[in-house]
Amino acid sequence: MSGNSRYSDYWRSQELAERLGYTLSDAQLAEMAAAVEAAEPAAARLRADPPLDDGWPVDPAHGDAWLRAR
Amino acid sequence: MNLDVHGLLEEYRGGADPRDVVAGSLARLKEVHEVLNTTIAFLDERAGAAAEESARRWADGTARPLEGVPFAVKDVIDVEGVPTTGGSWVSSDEPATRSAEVVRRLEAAGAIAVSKDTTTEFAVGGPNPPRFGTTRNPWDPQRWAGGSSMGTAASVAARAVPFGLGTDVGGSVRLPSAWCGLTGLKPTSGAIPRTGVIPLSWTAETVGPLCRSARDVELLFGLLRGPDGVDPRATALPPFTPSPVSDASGLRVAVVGGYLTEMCDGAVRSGLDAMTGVLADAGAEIVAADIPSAAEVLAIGYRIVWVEAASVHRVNAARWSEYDPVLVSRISQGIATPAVDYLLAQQFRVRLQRELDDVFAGADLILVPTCPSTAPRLPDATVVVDGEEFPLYAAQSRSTMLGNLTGAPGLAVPTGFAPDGLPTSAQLMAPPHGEAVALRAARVFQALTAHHLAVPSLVEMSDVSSPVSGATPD
Repeated sequence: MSGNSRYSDYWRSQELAERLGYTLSDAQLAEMAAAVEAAEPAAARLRADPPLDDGWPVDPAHGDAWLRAR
Repeated sequence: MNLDVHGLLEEYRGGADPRDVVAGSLARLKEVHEVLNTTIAFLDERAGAAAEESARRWADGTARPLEGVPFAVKDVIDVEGVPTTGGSWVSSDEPATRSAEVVRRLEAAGAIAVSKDTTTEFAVGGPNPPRFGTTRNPWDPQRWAGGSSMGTAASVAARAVPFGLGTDVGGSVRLPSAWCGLTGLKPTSGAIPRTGVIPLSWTAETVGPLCRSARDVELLFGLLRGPDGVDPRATALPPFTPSPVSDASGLRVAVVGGYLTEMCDGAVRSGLDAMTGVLADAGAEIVAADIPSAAEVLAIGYRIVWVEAASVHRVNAARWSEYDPVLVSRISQGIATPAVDYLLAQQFRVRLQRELDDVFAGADLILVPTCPSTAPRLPDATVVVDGEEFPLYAAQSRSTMLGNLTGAPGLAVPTGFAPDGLPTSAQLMAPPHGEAVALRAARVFQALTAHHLAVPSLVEMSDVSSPVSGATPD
């Protein structure tokens, strides 16, 4: 989430929160940004994961199949 | 109320009067609440009427399976005629017009709801909720009872009620069970309907019982499970057949190392080792196993929960300034999480399920610590692992989130006590719909040990030097 493009600050902006329907104070926005940045390493690892079975990525809802098939 | 559900039903069969039992339960709850801050509402009138009905049924031979058994309800679960506050200032205090399906099922079986219990705000806020305050641990009032089903756990552990209902999105049934010395179940996702429960995470949340014995969990799970035609994730289930076998022969128990045990207090590890030994002596085969992606589970699980929780709490999007700041700091990151990252996190669940499939190919159960430490210290709820202090959220859900992400059931079982006098716990995980196997192992363990029967000291309960902040119930 770092970089110099205009987008790099948009995700932590009041404008984004308001566009999505949320009212956050500056302090809450700062906490949100800190939390997202803290979670970034795990997100980056996830993005680097190859698709399962070397094919097209699975339907995310496929996770439910494990519960139904037994 | 030092009896579990089975013990209380035996007393009833011997002639005990439900009116006396329910009145005693409420009196004990009020006494416990004064010290620990467990309760948002006492349901005297409602419970009293139900106790009259139970007395009649025991007298005329029409008693139902849980006739006259009092229980506590976390205040994110609707009880008809009673407000559901979620522990929040922003909730309407209008009474619920209909009980949650789980409450309806228990009441149809004769059980009697006696309280609405404290929770972290909307089951996701911090340990010091602004409206009703924190809940102290019956084993040591300077410790937290745990989140988020904190009032329910403390009430059951303090012998005010024999069981209660909680919810679990990342461990909120199993963690307070662990910290209060209880046996608590996060069922297979979809096994118990969530209709009438304030939502938090559509894909991770479950409802489960907090009890004082595995035999009680077994009884209650049988009554709570099954679709209701409303919760879209509660679909048709395979039969639940509790095992009559009283030993562990033929059971293969996988002890998982790596990430799930590397951060683990010595006392918790000793409890885990002791449980492994008891099960082995009872005939179980102990095998080693690995879950390669275990270290990713906590961060990815939270990522899913925060996105879903931010979406759920959009309903109060203009009032987050009235929320517990800890709640906002946790779920707000869901606003800024890209959709593709959320979907990648959902796809990770399939990878993780395949890893558990690999473990379950060679084992019937997985045994891991329920959490790395004993109960967190108040007021900040920090946890201490082998003398080193950690923030609550870095430690608490390391192994419990595994069940919420995969949907597999997890059962927290008391394994003993740490040198500080606090309970330790291990979690038995089974494949989806394998609750009966986990419960069999827990029953065998509890038949051979007495940790689950230990009672918190009343002397310690009265030794509280600082009051709990927050409003008191009417």
